[in-house]
Amino acid sequence: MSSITDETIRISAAVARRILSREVRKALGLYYIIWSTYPIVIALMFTLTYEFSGINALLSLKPLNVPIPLYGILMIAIIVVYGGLAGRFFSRLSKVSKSPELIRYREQRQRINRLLMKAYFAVTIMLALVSYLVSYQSAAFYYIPLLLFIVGVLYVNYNLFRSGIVKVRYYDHLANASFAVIMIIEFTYYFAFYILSLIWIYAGVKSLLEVIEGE
Amino acid sequence: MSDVDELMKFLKDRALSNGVRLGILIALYYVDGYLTFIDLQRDLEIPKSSLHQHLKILREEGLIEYKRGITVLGVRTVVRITDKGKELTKKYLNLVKNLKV
Repeated sequence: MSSITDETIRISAAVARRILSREVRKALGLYYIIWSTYPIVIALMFTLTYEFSGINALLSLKPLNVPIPLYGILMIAIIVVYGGLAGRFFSRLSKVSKSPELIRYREQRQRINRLLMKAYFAVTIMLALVSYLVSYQSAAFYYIPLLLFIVGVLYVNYNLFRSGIVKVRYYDHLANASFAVIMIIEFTYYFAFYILSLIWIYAGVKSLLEVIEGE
Repeated sequence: MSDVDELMKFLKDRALSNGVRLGILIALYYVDGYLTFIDLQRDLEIPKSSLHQHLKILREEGLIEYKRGITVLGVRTVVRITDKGKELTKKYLNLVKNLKV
């Protein structure tokens, strides 16, 4: 092949990689920000039901003989909305990551990133086990799906970072580490949920700034 | 015709002979939605006039279309790949893939 053809192919791959990398980072920023509002929405619902007995009574109703109270239906609805938004992000990501040879670039620190992600898995599982053994044996039915959820999210993030589609930043680690720890300890230390929210807002804003400022 | 010859012929096309244009087309193919003019300019760090010129050539060849549209961030010029553009990009990516194999 001529050198001109080689050059065209090389430049086109670099241009596409640059555009796609920014698009994924933008989507990741929005994903962080959207999920950062989740603890706030849940906290708002808890506060309303706790403070106002009328609302509590209303949400405790079981409409049309459905065994789940309105409260549960509302929780499911909230999770469906957030899950749908996350689904949009991951569907975009899967489209972009169809061509790994195109978007992969070597990052020197990738090995460290992989090790850190594995550490988050270990911390989550360890915390869940300790919590379960120490005080939450009766809540096992809740812990197992939660654990699966956390490990699932971390696994998707792990694959995203491993693919090299986006450069892994410190705020990505901050978001993942806080997620791995706080989602488990939230039952004991509810305020930690707000910390998770703040960290994810920070990660989202930093991600969007990275796109705007073109770092 | 061998894959190499076909690729060489492919890259002699007016629209695809330039790496930036080809890169934009590949990105649009994978995004499978739209990219805004501002985003592209920011991503590529090239002058507005150059980007406009590249997009104009791609549009004249029927590979992309762009128009003013409403996005989350307000009214922007949005760029989309056409069916012809998708087909051509897919063919190009297959040729490159075959060469690598």
